[in-house]
Order: sequence, then structure tokens, then C-alpha cells
Amino acid sequence: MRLLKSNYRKNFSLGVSFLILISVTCIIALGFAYKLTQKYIENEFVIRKVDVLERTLESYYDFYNNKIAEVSFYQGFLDSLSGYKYADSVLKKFPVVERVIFSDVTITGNYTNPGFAFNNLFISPKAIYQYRRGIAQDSILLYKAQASNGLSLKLSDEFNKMAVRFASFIESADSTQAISNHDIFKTFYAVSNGVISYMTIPRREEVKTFQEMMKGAWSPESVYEQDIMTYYLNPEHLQVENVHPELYQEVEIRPAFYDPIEDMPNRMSTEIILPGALTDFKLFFWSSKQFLNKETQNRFLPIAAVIVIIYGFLFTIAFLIYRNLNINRKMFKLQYDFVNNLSHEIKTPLSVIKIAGNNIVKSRMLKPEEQSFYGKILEEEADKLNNLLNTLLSFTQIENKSITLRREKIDLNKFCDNFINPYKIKYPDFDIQYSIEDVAFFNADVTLLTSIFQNLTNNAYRYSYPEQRFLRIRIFKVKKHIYFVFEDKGIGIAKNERNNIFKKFYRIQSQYNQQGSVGLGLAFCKEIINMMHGDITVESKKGKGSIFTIILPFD
Amino acid sequence: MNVHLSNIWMNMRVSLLSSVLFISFATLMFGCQSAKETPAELFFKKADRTDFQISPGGNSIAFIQQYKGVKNVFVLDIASGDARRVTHETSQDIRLAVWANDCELIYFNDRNKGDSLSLKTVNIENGDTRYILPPIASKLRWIGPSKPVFDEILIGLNQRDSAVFDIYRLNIHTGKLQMVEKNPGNVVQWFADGSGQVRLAMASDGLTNTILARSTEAASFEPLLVHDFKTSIHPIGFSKENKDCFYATSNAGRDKSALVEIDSRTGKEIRILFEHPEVDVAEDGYMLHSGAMAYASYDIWRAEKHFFDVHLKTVYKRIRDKFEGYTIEFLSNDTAMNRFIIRTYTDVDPGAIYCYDLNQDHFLKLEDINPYLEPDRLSPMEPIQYIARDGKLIHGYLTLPRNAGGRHLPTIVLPHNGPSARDVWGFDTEVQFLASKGYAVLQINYRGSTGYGKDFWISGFKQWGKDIQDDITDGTKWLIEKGIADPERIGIYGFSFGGYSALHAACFNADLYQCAASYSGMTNLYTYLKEVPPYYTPYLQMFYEMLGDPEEDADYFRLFSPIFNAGRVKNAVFIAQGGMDNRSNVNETNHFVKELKDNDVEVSYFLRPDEGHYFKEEQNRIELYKSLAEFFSAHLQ
Repeated sequence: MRLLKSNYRKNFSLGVSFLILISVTCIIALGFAYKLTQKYIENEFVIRKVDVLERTLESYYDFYNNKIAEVSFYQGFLDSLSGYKYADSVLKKFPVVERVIFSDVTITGNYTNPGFAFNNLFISPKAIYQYRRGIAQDSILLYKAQASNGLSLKLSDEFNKMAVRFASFIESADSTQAISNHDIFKTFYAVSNGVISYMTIPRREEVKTFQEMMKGAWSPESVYEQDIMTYYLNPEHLQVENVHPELYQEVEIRPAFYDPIEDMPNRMSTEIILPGALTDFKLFFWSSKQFLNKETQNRFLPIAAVIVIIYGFLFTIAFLIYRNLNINRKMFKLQYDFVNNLSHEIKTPLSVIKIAGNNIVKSRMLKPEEQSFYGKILEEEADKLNNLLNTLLSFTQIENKSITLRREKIDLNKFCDNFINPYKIKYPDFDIQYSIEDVAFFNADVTLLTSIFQNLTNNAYRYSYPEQRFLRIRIFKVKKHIYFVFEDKGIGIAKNERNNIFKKFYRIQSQYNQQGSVGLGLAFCKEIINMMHGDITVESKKGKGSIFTIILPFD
Repeated sequence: MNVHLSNIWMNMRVSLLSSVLFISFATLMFGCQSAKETPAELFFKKADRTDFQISPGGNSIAFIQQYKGVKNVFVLDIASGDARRVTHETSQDIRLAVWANDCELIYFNDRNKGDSLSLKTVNIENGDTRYILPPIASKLRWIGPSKPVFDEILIGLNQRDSAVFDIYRLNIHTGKLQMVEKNPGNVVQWFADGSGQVRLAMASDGLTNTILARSTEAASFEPLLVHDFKTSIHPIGFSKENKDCFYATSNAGRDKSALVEIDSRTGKEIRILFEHPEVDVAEDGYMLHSGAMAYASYDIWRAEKHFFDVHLKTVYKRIRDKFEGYTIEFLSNDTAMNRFIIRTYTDVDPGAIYCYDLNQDHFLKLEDINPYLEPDRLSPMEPIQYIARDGKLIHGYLTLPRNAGGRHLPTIVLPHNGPSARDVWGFDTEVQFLASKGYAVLQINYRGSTGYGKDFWISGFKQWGKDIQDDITDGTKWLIEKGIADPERIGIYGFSFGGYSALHAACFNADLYQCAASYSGMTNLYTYLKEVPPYYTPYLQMFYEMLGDPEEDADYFRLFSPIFNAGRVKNAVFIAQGGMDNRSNVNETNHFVKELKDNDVEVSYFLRPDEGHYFKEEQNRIELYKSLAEFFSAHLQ
């Protein structure tokens, strides 16, 4: 027993240290995960601004890459009306464009109107229009060639810029090749802060003509038309699309010099400069610390849940291992007890036999009473041993299903009389009676049935208070079943032990069974009853007594 | 520029036949032939022997063939059957060779940009060549008749002013060059009578055409007939019988062009030689040596000829007896009208070129156009007609793939280039190639096509993207209703305007066509219009009337130019583009393709930077058709 106790202690400390270890690991993991999440959020805060920029500038890029180039598709044929329609479609679709200036330009080989000239190439505006949202009809036209008002320098600024670029392109262009993308972006797009100008890209044939015009080798007085569109942009009208509302509390368009460090001590902020013509402005992102903490928590919760689930899983496994160990330990104890009891059971008759043998050897002459006394003792003790070994043997046989039932017709009255009478003689203090109702005969293996009766009767006797040894056996039939009820007024069985009493080697820890029990009786009964397709149940009250009911199929 | 314009608009009969001839001279260099499908190479290889011409005496036949990669003139002696190379060009291809007389050929070479022009003759007996026009910096226009009269030929040269061609008379023996008439600037064509006197001129500013005439070269030209561009009066040649009359096709005062004789003094039509109630009469059939019309030719659903010349009629009958079911074309003949070079073809047979000897009733085969294509495996072309939504009768052709059952077929709608052109019956390489891949091919002579009279042509004006496209749509729907086209597998493909039609369908008719393929299709009407430089104001006026005014009709241009509508395209698109194309600008096409890709439309872009509107390089064309076939098989099978 001492050995067992020390085993148990070892398991316990192992378990405890294991629990502490995984709990500590779990807590560290949670802490670490929280820190990582925090870092991750800070990182995201800086990185994700590109997504916002991209989404916010989607319409700007659509405008820059597609809508501007559309001017070229008109091949210089834009006039006040179609120019208005085009500009209107720009202003409607792209809020970032605030104003469009359209110069309807003519290119000629000799002077017609004021404009830009290089050698014999004359580039001059025929008319200049402006368009903006809600503009009055009469202020659309800014300039018309040959009208009284002249061309102001302010108005012709972008025009001159494009004309110079155009002339220098014509001067050096290779008209045998298609115009390359590089030339297109270098010459026909002029991008500066808040302003983009674009000029119709001429066809290859026209480039050739313009080159000849420049050289003065072009006689026909023909007028070529080109269009120059100038777009004035206001980045503040860009529609910011905060695609990461979980990261950025506020996204604003601010001038590039905007720097609010003092205003917001408790805020995290980042920024990104707008590209191209919008470069005077930037996207400014900020979030309060609490806002980011909340987001950190939002992201941390699922991670924590996962960690806890893993922890729970480990814990469950540990518990299952522990329980398994415990069961093994109990099994070990049962077997240990069994061997203990069995040796005791064998040892007692053996020592009696030994004493009797000794006495016989020591006495010179045995009196006839002494002879019969010792003989009786020797016979009884040998019978005890024999019974014990028989029980063991038959139990093993039953367990292995290696015995077969030998059914025969049993006269129940005769059977009970034969069974009870020896007890009455043997234990005069045992109040044992039986009653039989509605049934006289029963088909069964008489040996096995006797075994059951013996076990239950022995138990009733053994687990009784000495002044109250009592047993009532009732036999009756209900429908197709026969009932054997053994009712005693013994010590009873505790509730938590009721399930165990039918198990092998199980004995109730009690003063009543210190001798002559190996914990097989009820297990043996149950095996037999199972073999006979019946059932055994027990009702009991601690200190009041127990009722064992055996139900066997009749036929 | 004049040449371009005439290519696009002025030639009323830009018959596909000529392009068919051009393409399908596909004689093949290699002999491998797959068991099942004829590969694209076999369809689209160019021929190596072309331009057969019989000598005036009828004993020799000149033709052009490559020698060490350069086109040279060869001469076949009919009696012996021997063919010899007579020129020794090693760097520049010979462009054209004509008989000067029985022993000399006049020829000139292809020129690169900036190369000077020269005319040479070669003696077929001893191979001697000599210059008759020493190298000069000028361009050449060949003026009919292309035969020397009194040892003199007429040529047009833009020596004086690069923009205009004056007419000169060149003596082929002495090389003496003498200006006959100075071009006032607007004359696009000159005509000489049988004695080589230039007596007729056609001037045009695009909007108005004027026919000028004079009785002798000593007199000055006086306007004879003035008409707008919608009316077509086209002189053919002077009559030998009535020295002051000339033959012409004319639709002045009638809807369909008729073959008429016009008095060059009064401008009056003195008689109608031939007219047809349904179709225009073509300009061929004039016999130079007899100074008379030998026949009138016209296309109803297939080419027909009406003979005036009894002798030629007999010849034609004899040939027809031998080649039943074939269409026969006269390419060249000797002065005695005994030997003829003819070409035969059907819809399923690219045919061959023969020399027919009338006296001996003998056919000498000169060239198989494409011996590797087996008529048994090609697909017949059937004429069809249907009523468009507004009640107009539309003609077309349907080619069904052989052994495909004829119902529920994958279909390719193939609108022709133009719109001022028409599809005709005959061997069409492109159609046969597509049919060989298992597609039904529908060709439509939508309104605006030529050949069906003035009204039908004019009804296509300013109808790009509108009625013309409706006609094509109606044709496709008609084919679906007939159960021939599988509505789930229809593609549309075309060249130039046909390509525009395909792109238009991709933008506006995605439900009808599963995919669209454009070969040099116009993406932008503004760009197309810009091909006319602004100093050709009358031409621009004509364009404005036919296509629309880019400023007044700006909405129309915007609405129906594919480039403004790239966002509407959903189905797969194939685009073939030449980098040097002027009608369809490569920068714009690049932009169009980019926008399609941005919108996740599946685009196959076949870009060849060195090609123009029509791909000249044979290898490029073969690759183009291979890619096209792959594209269709990916989307229609």
C-alpha cells in the first residue's frame, strides 16, 4: 500500500508542474501575441495608405490615361459645341477638374492670326474657350481671333508652352515611324502643379506636312486644326476613399506643407504626397491612440481565442492521460487486493491444518474424540480450500464461456428446502426464510443456481450486524420472467459503490469482510446471470439493508 | 493622294475579284499536304508566275517570275514550249512589262522611296536592254492604250509639279519625250483615240467631275459633261466607227450604270449598248485594235457577259464548252484574235491560266493558280437574299462548310471592305480558308455597296454604324432564323470597313456575336476622315456628304467610333494592325487595346509595325490568318 501511495504522489506533482508549465506558456503566448498584433497594426497603419491613395486616385488616373487622350480622337475637329460637350463630360465625371480651357488652334504655313511661330510654321489660336461648372453662357468664350480684344499673356501661357513643345517635336520628328509613347508623353502632355495641358497628336502624314511647312516648302494655303486642352485641377475636390476605415480614423487632403505635430500629441499620423499634377497636395491620415488600441484588440481577440482553444485542448489531453493512469492504478490495486485476500484465504485453512497436524504429531495417543475432532477439522479445512479453488476455477470458466448450461427441471420448493436447511443448522442466529408464489418448477442449471443462492446468502450473512442476521427469499413470476428477491437487513451499500459491487475483485472496504472474501462472489453471480440472459439489480440503504433482485427468463 | 482616294471611293467597281486574283495566285513551293485540314500556308501563298501577256503576233507569251528572289521577265515561245528569262534584274523587282512589238518588251522596276524612274525595253531575241526613258526624279502614270501607236506611248509624269501628272508622248525608239498636255491640276485621267491622239480628259475635284473633250490635239479642251460625284460617267475608249464618239458607262439620268456611246462634240448619249435592270454594267470589254466594244460584263449573282462581237462570242462559246460551269476572263489576245490568254475559275476552284488557240482549238495550260487546293474539298458559295428591317432587298453569299450538315453551324459574318465595293461570286481565298475550318461564312452586300445602282450606293451615305450595320445584323438574324447559324457560335470578321463593322458589333451587338475580329478596321471616324488633307476642300466636301461632317455631325462621329466606345466591349476581340497604317492609326489602336485590357476584355492583338493598311509581307499574312483561325477556334468551337 505504501508503494501505491508514493506512486500517486508522484503523478500528482507531475500533473501540477505540467499544468503550471502550460498555463505559463499560454500566458506568455497571449502577451506575445498582443505585442505582435500591436506592432502589426502600427505597420499596417504606415503601409496601407497606398491602398487609399490608389483608390482615391482611380478616377484621376482614368482621367489622365483615358479621358485626356480622347481629345486626340477628335483629330482637331473639336469646335465650340463639341468642345463644350467634351469638357462637360470631363467636368461631370471628374470632380478633381475645376476648369477646362480649350484652345482651338490652327497650324498654317504663313501668318494668319497672332500666335507662336517657328520659321514658317505658324501655330495660333482661333478661339479660346473656358468651361467650368455653372459658368454663364456669355463667359465661355475668352478670345476669338480677329475680334477686337487681344490675346493676353496670362491666357496664352499654356498655349505657348504647348506650341514650343510641338514645334520642337516637329523639328526633329521621324515621320517614317509611328510616334512613340515616349514622344507622346514628352511632347503632347504638359504636367505642372495643378495644371495639365494636352495637344492633339498629329498623324504621321501631318507631321511630314508640318515639317515641310516649317521649312517653308509648303505652298498651299491650307489650315490644319489642332486642339489644346488645359485642365486646372483642384486636388481638394478629390473624393477620398478610405478603404481601411479600421486603420484610419480620418483621411484628409492637405497642402504638402501641412504639419500638425503640436495639435495632435495623442494621435498617430502618416502621409503620402499625391503624384503628377497634384503634387502640391498630400493625403494625410490620422487615428487616435484609443482608436488603434481598439483595432488592436479587435484583431487580438481571435488570436487569443485560438491560443485558449489550443490550451484547452492540451488540458483535456492531460486530463485524459491522468484519468487513464488513475484507472490503471485502481486495477492494479484490485489485483493486489485479490492476491492478498486469496493468500489469506488459503493461508487460514492451511495454518489450521498445520496446527491440527502438529497436535496430532505431538500427542502420543489420540483419544477417539480427539481423533474425530481433528479429522473433522482437517476435512472441513480441506473442503474450504476445495470450495475456494472451485469457485476460482468455475469463475474463470464462466468468464471464458467454456462451460455449458445443463438445464433440468427444478422443483423450487424442494430446492429451497435443501438450500436453507444446512444454513439453519450451521448458523442458528441466521433468520432465513423463503416464499414461493404462483410457480413450482423452473428449468435451469441447478449447480449454477445454487451458486447464485449461496453467494447472495453468504453475503447477507456476512454483511449483517451480528444481532440482526436476516434474509427473506421471495420467488415469483411476472409474465414471462421469474423473480428471485433476496432481502436482508444488513449494513447496506453506499450509493457510489453500487455500480462497482458487480466488478471483479471489488470489495467494499468494511470490517465485515476482513476474512474469507476475494471479491468475486457478485461478479461471479452477474456472469452466470448474464449467461442465462437475465439481469441482477440492487436497491440498498446504508445501514438499513439491501434488496438484490434477479430476473431470469422463464423458459 | 488621288490614288488613295480612288482606291477608297472613286472606283465604283473595286471588285473583290481583283484582290482574289492577287491573293490566289498561290502556287506552292512545297508539296506537303495534311490529310485533313489544308494549312493556311497553302491557301495564302502567293503565285510565282504572273502577268501573262501574249505578243501582238501571237507567237510568244511574256510573264513575270522570280529569279533568285527578284522578279524578272520571262518569255515563252508557244511553238517550242520553251520559256526563257530575258531580263537580268538582280536587285529590284520588275513591276510591269508590256509588248512594244513582237520582239521588244517595255518594262519598269519597282522603286523605293526616292529612287528615280526609268523605262527600259528588252529584246527577247538577244536580251539587249536599253533605256527609252533615262532615270528621272518623277512618278509614272500609265496612260491607256498601253500599246505603242506609231512607236509612241503615252505616259503621265509629275516632273513639273509633284502634285499633278502631265501627259507626255514617248518614242520607244528614239526616247524622245514630248509633253502633250499640261495638267491644269485637276485632271485625273486622260484618254486617247485609236490614233493615239489625246482627246478626252476626266477632271475631278472630288465633289464635281468634269469630262473635257476636243476634236484634235491642236484644239483646246472644252468641258463636255459636268456632274456631281454621285453620278458616274466613265469613258472607256473611242469608237473606230464614229470617230467623234466614245464608249462609256454612265448612270446619268438612270439608277444603274449602262454601257453607252457618247458624242464627244455634244456630250449627248447617242445610244445605249447594254443595260441591266438589276445591276451596273462594268467597264471592260473594249477591244483596242478594233476600236469597239466586244462585250459588256456585269455581275448579277455571278459574272455574266453580253457579246457584241460575233467572233469573240464564238471563241467564248468554244471555251465555255470546254470549261462548263467556270467563269472565264479574257486577259490578253493577239492582234489576229486567234490566240487568247484566259483565266478560268469557280467558287471552289481557283482555276488556271490557259492560252487558247482558236485555229487549232487547243488549250495550253500556263499556270495553275493553286494546284494544292482540291475543288472536292472546298465549299460552294451560294447567292442569298433577304429583306432588311426597312424593306430593302439585300443580296449576299453564303458558303457552307462541306460535310458539316448545313444546320446549326458556327458562323462567321464577313462584311466586305468599302463600303463602296461589293462581294462577287468566285474563288475567295479568305472565305474558303474559314469554311475549311468548319465555319459557315456569310457575306453581305449591305446598302452602300456598289454595283446595285446609284440609289443603293447613296442609301449607305452617313450610315456607318447605322443602316449599314443594321443590314449586317439583319443578315445574321436571318441566318439564325433559317436554322443555319448556331446563335451561340457567331463571330464577325472583316478587313478595313469590314473590321470597323466587326468592332462596331463588338461595341453594340455583343448579344449577337460571341467574338469579333478586325483586320485594319477603323477605330475612329475622325482619323479616317483626316486622311484627306485640308487643302483638298472639295474632296473633304465629298467625304462629308458620304461619311458626315466632323463638326456638324460630331455626335454621330463620337457615337459610332469604336474608340469612344471601348467601355462597351465585353466579348473577346481580335485586332490586326499595321504600324504604318494611315486609316487606322496605330497609336489609337494601341489605346483601344489598352482600354479593353484594362476592362478585362480578352484581346488578341496582332501588331506588325512595318505593315500598312493591307499586309504586304506574305509571312505576315499567313501568320495573321493562323492567329485568326486560332482566335475563332477558341471562341466559336
